[in-house]
This record gives sequence, C-alpha cells and structure tokens, in this order.
Amino acid sequence: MSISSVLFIFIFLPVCVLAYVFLPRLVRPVFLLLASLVFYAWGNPAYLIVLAISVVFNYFTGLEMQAAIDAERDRDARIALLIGVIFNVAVLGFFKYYGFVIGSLNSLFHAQLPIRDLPLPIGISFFTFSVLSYLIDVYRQDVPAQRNFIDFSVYVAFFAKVTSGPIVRYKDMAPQMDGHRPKLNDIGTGTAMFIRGLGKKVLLADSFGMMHSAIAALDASQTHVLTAWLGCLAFTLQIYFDFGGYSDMAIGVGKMFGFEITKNFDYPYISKSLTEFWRRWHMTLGTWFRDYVYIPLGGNRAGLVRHMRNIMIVWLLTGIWHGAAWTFILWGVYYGLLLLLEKYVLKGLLERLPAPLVHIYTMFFVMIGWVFFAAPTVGSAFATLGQMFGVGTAGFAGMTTWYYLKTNLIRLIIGCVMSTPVFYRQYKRFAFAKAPARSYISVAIYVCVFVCSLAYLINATYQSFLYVQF
Amino acid sequence: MNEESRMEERKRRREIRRRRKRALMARVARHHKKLLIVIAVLILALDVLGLVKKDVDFSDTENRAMAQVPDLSRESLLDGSFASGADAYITDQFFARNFWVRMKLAMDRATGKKEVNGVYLGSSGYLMEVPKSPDPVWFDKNLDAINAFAAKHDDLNLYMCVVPNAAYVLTDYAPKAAPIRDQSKDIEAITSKLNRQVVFLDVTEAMREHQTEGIYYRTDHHWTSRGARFAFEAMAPRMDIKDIAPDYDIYTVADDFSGTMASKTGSYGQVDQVQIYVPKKVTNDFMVTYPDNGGESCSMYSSAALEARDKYTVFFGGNYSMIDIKTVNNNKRVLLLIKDSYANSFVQFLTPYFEHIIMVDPRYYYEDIEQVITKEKVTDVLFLYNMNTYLEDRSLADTLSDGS
Repeated sequence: MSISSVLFIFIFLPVCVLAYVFLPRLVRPVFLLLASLVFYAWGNPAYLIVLAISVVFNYFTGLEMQAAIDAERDRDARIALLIGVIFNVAVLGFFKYYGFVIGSLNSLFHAQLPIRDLPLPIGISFFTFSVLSYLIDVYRQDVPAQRNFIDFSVYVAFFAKVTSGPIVRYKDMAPQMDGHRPKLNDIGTGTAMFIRGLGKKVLLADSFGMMHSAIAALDASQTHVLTAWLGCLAFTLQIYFDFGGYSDMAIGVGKMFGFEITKNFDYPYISKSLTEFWRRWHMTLGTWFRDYVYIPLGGNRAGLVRHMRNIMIVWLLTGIWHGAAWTFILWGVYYGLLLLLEKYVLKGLLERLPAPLVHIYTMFFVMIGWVFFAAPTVGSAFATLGQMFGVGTAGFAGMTTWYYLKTNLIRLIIGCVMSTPVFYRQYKRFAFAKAPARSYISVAIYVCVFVCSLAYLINATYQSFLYVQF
Repeated sequence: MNEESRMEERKRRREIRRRRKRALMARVARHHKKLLIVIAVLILALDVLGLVKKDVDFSDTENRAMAQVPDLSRESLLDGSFASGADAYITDQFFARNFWVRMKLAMDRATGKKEVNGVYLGSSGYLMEVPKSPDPVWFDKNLDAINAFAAKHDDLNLYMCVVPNAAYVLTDYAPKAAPIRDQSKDIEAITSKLNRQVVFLDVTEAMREHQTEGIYYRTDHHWTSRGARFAFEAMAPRMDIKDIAPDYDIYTVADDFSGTMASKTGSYGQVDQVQIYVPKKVTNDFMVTYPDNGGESCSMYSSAALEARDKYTVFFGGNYSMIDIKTVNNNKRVLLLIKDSYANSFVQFLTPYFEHIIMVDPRYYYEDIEQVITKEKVTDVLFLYNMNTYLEDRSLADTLSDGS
C-alpha cells in the first residue's frame, strides 16, 4: 500500500489510529504489527516472506549475541554479528543486485549466464539497514537486545517507515515502544505533518516529475541548453519534494501512533557546501553510513590515504545502495571525489567566497549529480549533460524553453521558495501568533492543501514514490 | 549588589522567555487539534457519503466502466488483484468524483498548464491529443508488411493516407511554443520507405488550409465530416475518382457531443456538433452489411448512437472487424479499405464512386484477407489511418501477412 493512496488516507489510516487509541495498552503493539503486515502484504503478499525471514532471523541473532555478551564470550558475539551482517547483506544483494551483477558479467565476458529478474521486495534496502543498525548497536552494547518478539517486529515493519524509511535506529525507537496511548496533540501534529508532506508530493513533486519526463523525452532538435537545465531543475525539485514529502508523511504517521521518527531532511538546497548538503539530505542514510562504515573504518583519523579510501568506500556504497545500476555507482563516486576535493582543496576558498557564490557552487554540483541519478543509462546521462553545456542541442534557448518555463512557472517559483525555510518560518510566525483568528485561517489553508491534493489523488494516473524503487 | 540585580534580571527574562514558549506551544497544540478535528470530520463525512452513495457502473462523463467491489477470494488476495481492485474501487466510486476531476483540471489550467493527461489544452476550446512517437520496431514491421503486400499485389491500385492529428494541423489553436511533434517528419519517414507501388496521399496541406473551419472536433480525437471532406477532395483526383459531388446536404445530427478528449481531461461542460454529409447530384444508394452480427441496413448512420455518449459512432455504429457496402454503381471498382476509426466518417464521401467497399479494421479482424481480395475481385486498396493510431498499431502487420 502506498501512504499517498486514497485507500490509505481514507480507510487504513483512520481505522488504525482509532483502533490504536482505544485498544488496551497491551494489545497495541500486536495490533500495530498486524496492521503493518497487512500494509506490507497489500498487493504483493509474496514479499511478506522476505520481511518475515528478516525479522525472525535478526530477532534470534540479537538474542544470541546478547547471550554471548552477557556470558562475556566476545568471540561468539563477534561471530554472531558477522553471520548476521553477512546474511542480511546477502539477502539484500540477492534481490537487489543479482540481475545487475549477472548482466554486467555477461556483457563483460560475452557470457550467457541466465538472468532472472527478481521483483524487489518493497523497502528491502530500508529495513535491511534498520536491522543492521540494530545488530551492530547490540554488539557494541549501546542497547540491549529486544527480547519481546512483537516489539522487535514492530520496529522493523512499522508501516509508517517500512517502505522508504526514514532508517530509524533501534536505540532511538526502543524507549518509545511501550504501547503508550498517543496524545490528541500528537495525532494533531502528525496530521499537520502528513498534510504538508502530501501537498509536497501530490501538488509539487508529481507535477515536476511530469515536466522532467516531458523534457527528457524531447528530440535533440527541440532541446536547448536552457531547456536541459529546466529539465534538470524539475528533477531537482521533484526528488526533493517526493522524498521529502514522503518523509514528512512517514514522520507524521509515526507521530499519530506516538513515535518520534528521526528527521530525514533539513532544507538540503540551502547548503553552503556539498559536505553540508549531505548532512541535510536523506539524513538517516548519511548518519547510518557515518556510524557503521565511515567511523569504524577509521574516519579521518588515520592519515590522508586512509581518509581518502574511507570517503570513497562510503560514497561508492551510498551509490550502490540506491540501485543496481552504473548510473548510481557513478553518482556515488562523483560525490566521493567532490567531497574529497572540498575537504582538501576548496575548503579555505569556500569559506572566503561570498554566500551567493557558495550557494551557486553547491547547487551546480548537486544538479549535475541528479543528472546521473535521473538518467536510465550512463549514456543518456552524458547526453543530457552534453545538452546542458551546449553539445547536441538546437541552441541556447528556444520556443520549447519558453513553453516549459511558462506552463510551470508558478509551480517552479513555489518549489524554489519552499526549498528554503523562509516560507515555513514566516508561515509559523503568522499561524501561531497570538491573534486567535489566525489559527482558523491556518487550519483553512491546511484543509485547502488537503482538498487540492485529494483532487489530484482521485483523478490521477497513479504516481508512486521515487524512493520506493530503492 | 549590581552583580546580583543583573542575575535577577537575567533570571526574570529567562522566565518570560520560558512562559512565552509555553504559550506558543499551547497555541500550536490548539491549532493542530483544531486541524485534526476538521480533517477527521471531513474524512468521516466523505467516507460515509461514499458508502451511502450508489455505485456507478459506467461513467458517461469519463466514458469508461467504473471499478466495482473487488472479488474477495484466496486467489485475488494472493495475486494482488484484490488490492489493486480495492484501490481502483475507492477512487472510482469516491463521493462526487466528477467534482474532484473537474477541480483538478481547473487547478491545472489556473497554474498555466497546457498539457493534461496527454491532451493539449488549445485555444478556442480545442482539446488535442498529444501526438504519439513511433516505436521503431513496430514502425518498420508495419511498413515491411505493407511493402510485402504491395509487392504481392502490384496489379491493384494501392493507396495510403495517414491523416495528421489536430495538434499538428491546427497551428492556430495549439498551445503556442509547445514542442508538438512534427508529424510531417513521420509522414516523410513513411514515404521514404514505402513501396513505390503504393501512392501516398498527403492531406496535411489540404487540411491546414481549412484549419479555422472546424475540421477536427474540439472535444474528440477524430476529424469532423467537414475535415474528412477536404481530405477526400484532395485525395479523389489521385485515386482516379472523377465527377465528384459538387455539394453536400449537411445535417447536424447532434449538438451535445462530448468526446474522448473531454473525458480524458475532465472538461465536462464542453460539447461539439456532429454533422453528416450526404453527397448531392450523384447516385448514392447502397446496402451495408455487418458480417460480425449479420446486421443489414441501407444507411451507414446509426441513430441509436445519438442516444449514446460517443456520438462519433453515428458512423456505422462504431468499429467492426469488417463492414461490407454494396452500391448501385457498377463501375467494377471494388475498394478494400484497411482502416481505423477515422475512416468511419470518410466512407460517406466514397460510396458514390465504388461498386463495392469492404472496410476491414485489423484491430478486430482475424480472417484471411487474401481470400477476400480474390473472392470479391478487389481492384483498389486504401490504407486509411490517423497518425496516432497508425504509430500505435500492433495488428496491421498480422492482418496483411496472414495469407502468405
């Protein structure tokens, strides 16, 4: 099920929230687990097996590790962790990369190994990373293993986050798993977040998505340098409002059930460097790689060469995590190299440059990065890049540039403004001021966003979230 | 003393800040609670109204069957059809669905969109299908089949006409600056590979000359009878059709036609006229038979269609795998018309000049076309399509190569 579907908003979510509030405390976790299983199995029950195997395996691995730790058998704990990590990575790799690896081997060696296109279990990259964080945290004795099977299952499968994150760490969620009744205030706050996210997804992201695919499908004879940049801008806004909107909705849903789910975005497009961008974009993935790969490898404390190696490993993995395709690998390597360049060469310069130039620098490289991310193949990525710099186009700007600018202008302006905190900061100042009438106006605005989104949801040729594919 | 009072002052300020923050938090909480109540009531109301309202079987406005309560069974749960059925059911049967659809279109228009659900929003109320791009494999496959067919039948008069679509022809009405596909390039691509035996009849210029005269429906993807007439008059001399009717009796048979483009976009208020053209001063009597259902008629118009939503089906009542028209003419010219729905309103111009017309729609035709050619002594073959349907066709090649 998608959390932006009419079915979810009008039936699944209200029923679940109502039931959750009125059920006795002891039953709440069981109910949440059952609801999450229905949510996950909806439309493709076969995937449930993969999720179930992951839950059961990691539950017992956690317990075994805890037993070893308690008995001070360090070696056994390490072996349990190792097996756990290998198993999880193997399952993820099997579903996600099998076809890609075999395909690449075939084309490299002109071999004819059979390829089976396995359907990717929804959210596997997200929940696998969640359970890995659990195993490692237990091993490090940051947190004791969860003995309650239901609570552990809820941590992995909670429907607010199972399909596309945020990748909540177990130790952040564990203290909240006491089945407490969500406060009315929390449900209200969750509703507000959910509506903001829904609006971002339905009113902005989907529209930018259509603009981007229309421009991407243009003939070279109709593409101009500016049109190509417009297409790139459309994708830049699409992916932020799509994933950012989804994250808002997920956090809002979590809140309705009394969970604080970790923030995933912090206005990434106002960053003053690429390093800062990655602290603000998909934050839960960034911290995951920092805590479980970068720092264990020695981070920046083991000399220049090791540091460079560590950065490249993290960014290669970040690229691969997004998908089994050369475009994502290239995208990861691109960021690895740029971040190294930033850390060792540009750092001083960036600090001295005036703010607007630094913003331009950051967004320039972020947008170039999205070209790789958006393109179906490496070849088409370079073709698009070429067009952005005047290779293989019909000129600098033309009628089509004007057409796409004109027909999307209002949304583009809204999108650019909403990518910065300015609007929402002012909005909060307005809505939550002492004047009591203001809160009614603000509620009306929220309802308006909800109703407008609904018109698109009911009408739409359905658009799924971009990050569901990862 | 001084030090102490400063400490006091700081403490006091901190206290005020804390109190203000608490007051703010309380206001935020009240705001969110109000919002929750309004949204909860809204959701509940729409759910209840949706439940109470009777399910719709067929939406006239959208011209399609609406999803019904999905079957619940072990299989439907396991293969996901129950889930997708439920998703479709709840959106299709949503309370006041037409209102939501219209609202979306209004928002798209208001924010400057010129393209909605694959339709250009042109000026003067023109809704035009966004031209399709060819699939290279099928493009070649269809042309190869036509060429092979032509090579086999070099004794017949072979013609082909692919009519460009409204978005390309009506340059005055299409959204300004839109990157509309240049369909003359598609025509070029066809003619450059087409067997020389086949005479390609390009009607683009003839149509465009009359673009202000209503040659396409505003709300539908078809051409009007008027448009078909201009195309016919451009094609006739090259098809060796002489003494064509100098004029027509024009009857407006419907003035409330809201076609496929209106359905796709949700432009409900908008309507078109449907006209039929009856040639004057020529003999034009014929008998139409429908082998599909054994129907017979001495008219090609279906008055029943005027009660239905799709009033374009007034021509022959829609598409059939084969329609057979025998006229009183005995000039021995027998036309095999391999066609899509554009031809349905075109045949009214052809009947006076052939002894026998056999319309074949490859999308529904599974018989042996070679037998028809031999048995009915076909003398002329015309492939008549509009560009969008032609580029998306997946059945023409099969129909043509079946006999070989």
